[in-house]
Amino acid sequence: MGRYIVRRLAQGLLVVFLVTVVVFVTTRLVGDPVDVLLPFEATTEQRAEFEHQLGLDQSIPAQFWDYLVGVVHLDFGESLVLREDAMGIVLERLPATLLLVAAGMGLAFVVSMVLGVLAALRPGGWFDRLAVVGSLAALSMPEFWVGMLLIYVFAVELDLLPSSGKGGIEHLVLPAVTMAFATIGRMVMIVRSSMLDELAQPYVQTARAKGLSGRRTVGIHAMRNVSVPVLTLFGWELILALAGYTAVVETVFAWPGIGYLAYNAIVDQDLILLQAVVFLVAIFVVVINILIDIVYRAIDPRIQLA
Amino acid sequence: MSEHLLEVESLEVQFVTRAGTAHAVRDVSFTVDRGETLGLVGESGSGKSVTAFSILGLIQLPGRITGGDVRWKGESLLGTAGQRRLQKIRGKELAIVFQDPMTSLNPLFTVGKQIGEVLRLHRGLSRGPARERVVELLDLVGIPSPGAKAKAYPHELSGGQRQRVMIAMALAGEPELLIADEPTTALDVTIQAQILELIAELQARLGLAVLLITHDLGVVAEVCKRVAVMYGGKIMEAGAASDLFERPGHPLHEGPARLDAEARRRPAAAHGDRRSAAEPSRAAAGMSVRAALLDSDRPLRERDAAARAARARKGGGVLACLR
Repeated sequence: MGRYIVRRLAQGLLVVFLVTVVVFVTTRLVGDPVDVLLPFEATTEQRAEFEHQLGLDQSIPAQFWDYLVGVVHLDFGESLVLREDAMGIVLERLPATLLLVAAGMGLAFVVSMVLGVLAALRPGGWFDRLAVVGSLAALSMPEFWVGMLLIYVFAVELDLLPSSGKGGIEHLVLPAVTMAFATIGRMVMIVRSSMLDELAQPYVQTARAKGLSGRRTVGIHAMRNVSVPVLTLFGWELILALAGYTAVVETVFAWPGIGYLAYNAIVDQDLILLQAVVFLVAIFVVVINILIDIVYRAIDPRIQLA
Repeated sequence: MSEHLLEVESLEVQFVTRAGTAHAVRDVSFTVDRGETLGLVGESGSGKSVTAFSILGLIQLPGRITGGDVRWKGESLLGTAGQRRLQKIRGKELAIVFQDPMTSLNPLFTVGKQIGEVLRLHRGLSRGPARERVVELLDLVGIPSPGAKAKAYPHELSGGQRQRVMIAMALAGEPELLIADEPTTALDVTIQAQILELIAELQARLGLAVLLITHDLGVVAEVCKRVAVMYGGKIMEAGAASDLFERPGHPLHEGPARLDAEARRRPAAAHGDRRSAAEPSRAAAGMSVRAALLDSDRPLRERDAAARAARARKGGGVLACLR
């Protein structure tokens, strides 16, 4: 187990390195930051001076080396727009994003487990049909639209919840629900179908023949088996949420996290800041993947970690 | 006590689907007394397993018990009160060993935990004593180094060992009747004999009654005193095992004997009892004598349709739900 984790961490390091390379290359490809940052009427001397400041007058390999050395020290340089340490800004915004992802994905997990299992208990019943149709609808709705819909209903019409910004728990509700929406749709489908599969397995019959209650049969025996495929999907959802949905949801709700930051960095062509965000997200993806593998092994003894 | 341990009276089980109704069990009656072994024999799809599942209340929709009665020590196990009664004795007084030990154990729990569950539920043991008793039970069913094996997961055991675990699990509740539903069908031939010996030995030692379901007449001849032969959901004949084997003039003898020969010829067909229930071909092959004795509404075609409907239901997924 220990050796496995070390090897996975080494692999993860490689992934993070590749991500930094890709980020470096793409940021050199999208355009010249000097064009963006200096006013149109800047003189050639001013431009040269600025390029020198950013180190853009060096050769590409030299730039890459400087960049790598910086990454190792978590020093991505100053944000081009905000004129502060880029990683510092990102780390400052990170807790808000983690809070949002935890709330949204936690909500999605609990709700989809309950709905999926209830649907599977009476396949074809009214609740099952409702859950399946509802899930299809939920996963078909893009986050930004769900967000706008929720703002319209709960913030504008009913005036129950704030529509943007970060503050108390009431600020968290709408963004978290928005983030959970499509995930619930996908997860209910998987929980339901896995549970249906498991309930048809002979070991469920054995559990019932042993005299176990229906609750224990479903909740313990079948659930543990269901949790294997569900966990796979949930891992992806977690990664998607962190690396994708946050940008949309945080922008819609002006939630001050790294997703909103990334969106602004793209709009402002603040490549340094964007590099820092992407790097951090890559680290999270790697760590989440390793954690999921470890939980897998704890649930299913047949899985060999290799 | 004069009453029988288990009485099955005019039991009817139907599987109702849109494609038709399958009469899986028709007017089946038999009794099992304390300490007795009754063999229930018949080809695949003849309703043996459905009968056993009905006794334990394990028939699932679209299957339904539509008539008759199942009585345990004189009291019915059907209806609302019966169901409650059944829930209390299932796994305790009345236990079952299933056909396929490869899938009948939960792959994600140690065998010790799965046996211990019965002990804690039915015998009220706490964690520690349950663990000790599990080791005793594994030892009883002949598993080597039972202490270590209690911590093993099902995939770490061989098929024969798993079936022994299933038997240990059935014995954990200290049952009075053990239903063995083709307990050796999924096992290697050499292991089959061992498992049968084990069941016979335990029966003698613990005074168990056994309802042994099988399509192997050799097994019946070895283990059972009384035999009931099922075909097409009905009991075609019942009586002492010796009678059945020693009266070659009996017209019904022909069928089971040929069935026996067929089962030996095609061992592969022995697996997947329920799957092949949908194929009428085997029945048509050698059963003309007995088939003639049946009602005209032979259920085979209907059963085929029911199986198709069940498959469609299972595989349909999202779209099937929307329809």
